[in-house]
Amino acid sequence: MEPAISADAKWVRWRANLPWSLAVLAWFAVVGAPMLVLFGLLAQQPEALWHAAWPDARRLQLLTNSIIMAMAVATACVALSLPAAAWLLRRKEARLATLIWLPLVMVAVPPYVHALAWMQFWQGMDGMLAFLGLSLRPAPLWLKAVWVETAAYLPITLAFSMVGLANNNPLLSDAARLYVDEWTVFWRIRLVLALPTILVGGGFVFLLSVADFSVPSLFQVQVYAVEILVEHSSGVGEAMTFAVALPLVAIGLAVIPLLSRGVAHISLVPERFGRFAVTDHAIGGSFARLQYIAAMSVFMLIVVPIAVLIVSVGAPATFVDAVVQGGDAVLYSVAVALGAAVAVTMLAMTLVRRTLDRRWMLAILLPFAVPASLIGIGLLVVWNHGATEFVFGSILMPVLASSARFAPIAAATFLVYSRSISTDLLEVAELLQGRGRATWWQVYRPLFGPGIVTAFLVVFALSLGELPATLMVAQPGQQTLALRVYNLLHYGASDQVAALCLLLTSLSMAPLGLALLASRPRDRKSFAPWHGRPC
Amino acid sequence: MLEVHGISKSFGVLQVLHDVSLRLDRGQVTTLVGTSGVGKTTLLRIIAGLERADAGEVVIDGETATRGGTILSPPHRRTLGFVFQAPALWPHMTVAKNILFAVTHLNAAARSHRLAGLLRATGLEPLATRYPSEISAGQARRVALARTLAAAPCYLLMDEPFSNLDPQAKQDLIRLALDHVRDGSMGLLYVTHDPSERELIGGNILLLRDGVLTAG
Repeated sequence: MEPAISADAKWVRWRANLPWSLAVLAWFAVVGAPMLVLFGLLAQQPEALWHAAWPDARRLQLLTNSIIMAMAVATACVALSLPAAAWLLRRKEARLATLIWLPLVMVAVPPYVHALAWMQFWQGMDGMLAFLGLSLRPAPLWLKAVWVETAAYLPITLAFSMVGLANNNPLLSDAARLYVDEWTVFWRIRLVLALPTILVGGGFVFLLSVADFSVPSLFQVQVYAVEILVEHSSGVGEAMTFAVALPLVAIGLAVIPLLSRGVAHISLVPERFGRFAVTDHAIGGSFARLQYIAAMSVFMLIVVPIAVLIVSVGAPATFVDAVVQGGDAVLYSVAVALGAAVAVTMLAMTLVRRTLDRRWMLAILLPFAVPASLIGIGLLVVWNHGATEFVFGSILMPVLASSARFAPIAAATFLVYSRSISTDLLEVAELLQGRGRATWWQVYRPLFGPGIVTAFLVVFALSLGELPATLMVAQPGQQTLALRVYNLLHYGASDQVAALCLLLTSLSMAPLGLALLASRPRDRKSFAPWHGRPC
Repeated sequence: MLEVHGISKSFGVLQVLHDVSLRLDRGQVTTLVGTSGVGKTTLLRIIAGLERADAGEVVIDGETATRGGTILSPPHRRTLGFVFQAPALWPHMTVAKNILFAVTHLNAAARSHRLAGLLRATGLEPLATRYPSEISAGQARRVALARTLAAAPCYLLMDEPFSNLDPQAKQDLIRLALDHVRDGSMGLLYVTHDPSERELIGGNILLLRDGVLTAG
């Protein structure tokens, strides 16, 4: 028989669980409700479900195109990232130790900005070839779209590859080095151990690519995500739009459980591996060349878009003009991004401490299964009522759109960071000081601070470029910088658009870059293997 | 013969090894003692080719394997075995596959013969198909030793390999290693700071203090 719990004890337990319970409710309101309401609408209109269950031949073709394109992008990203990450992690030079982070900062640059830059680059190349009296057969548009999406999503797989390889226990590689050559050590030990993490990165890229409409629509590539947008624009209603999107949702629901299993095992700080870092034995021959080529390709995919944008802007006055003209949109975007980053980071901080098991990880990542534009549609259904009019017409809608999209990223980032902190450290502090202010300030803040700041900055940067969900919820007169850029893009590339893209890129990259620079001394201790030398 | 000549090594401003020299012949046992953090592990890693030295040479059976900061012979060509402080078993391989990884150059028959012998000698036969996560810490240490012995090294480097084992298990595994030394096929360089292990191992005793090696 279980001992009876006193009323006082129940009160203490209830009070301790209150913040977490509120966070679960808030998570449900922001992230879960838009999805559930769409399923609810579908249940009320079975004919819409029937319509989706039997897609015609054209839609099947679109779905096939989407899957093939997403697989091509994910494969290209992983294939480039793996050797590039291996090369970057072997860098020991102090200056390069900072540079290896640069590709990761590009994660904040939206795909349509990459698209504009590469379109201008190819245009310039064609012009140059024509000037020289040469001409090349133009590449197919789908290939260009794959190229651009690869460039846009590469930082994601690069980050996962670097984390996967850096988290290898160096002793396991050293043990293998005693018996086999460096090539075999890489393929049979390091790669096998890092593969789950690397594949998680590939899985995320697949999901992002399969649901992206911005790049395919700019290159006139027929994919399923564009069809969803077309369907919604034709005014068939939310239920029918969601029904059309169900195949993409089903793909997401199939992939997310695999990703959540992978994410649950990623840890950022390999403290338990002792003092030995990755040894720097040379890998000779073709693999070393492959690593070098991959690393240079990664840098090219980063440097070219930025260089093209700078060249396209031309005179600094053009940039200043664009900033002045888009001033309202800039301020509005920054306010939206700040609001989303604060809300989502606080939510993640409160929620994640209790959500370490696999089921919670699955629940956190589930929103990734739903294409972003549908999240926007779901938010419209949830908040477009008389009682919530103060939300519907306000800045809160874009904030909710970004929050709903990026809350899983903030939670996953914070979770992965939290997993690297030994519970012993927290328990010792609580034994000595309880859960008071001193424990929070002297122990929790320094330990969890970098994770909180990282989650905040990632959401802030991503929210600045958020387009698909914002496109759905933004009311006339509400224009974010991303919306302004995307609308102008359809009128063709111009120096004004390039200037706005450059501004968006700078705004997105600056906080992440600053954070990386600011966190370097701490990184040197905790991420020592990333720098390829003994710590 | 394994010869170490004038090895020096610094980490930043901290010099951990200063002009260290030693010799180890097959059939010979040498125990290296010293307090924690004195550089014993670093010396073993330099001998194995897993760490670069700042100066000095490592010569194995007349062939220079390390000269200064240059590793002339990679670790897998040094005919050395190394048992680390941690078992360092590959988590994606079974016990049998962990051991067989050390003998990929042998044909199938020779491999299975060697595996069977080592599993028997270390008492690991019932655990051959288990993964490292499914065995105890003591059993993992036995697998690590079996894997090292499988490669039939000429010189065995052991870096406090049994520090957390119970006395009986420690004794059994040390005896197993010593059996290979006594038949003259292997030299043993054993690092410890445990007096009971030092007595069990015997042989020459060297003391590493302040980066300098002296006879104990």
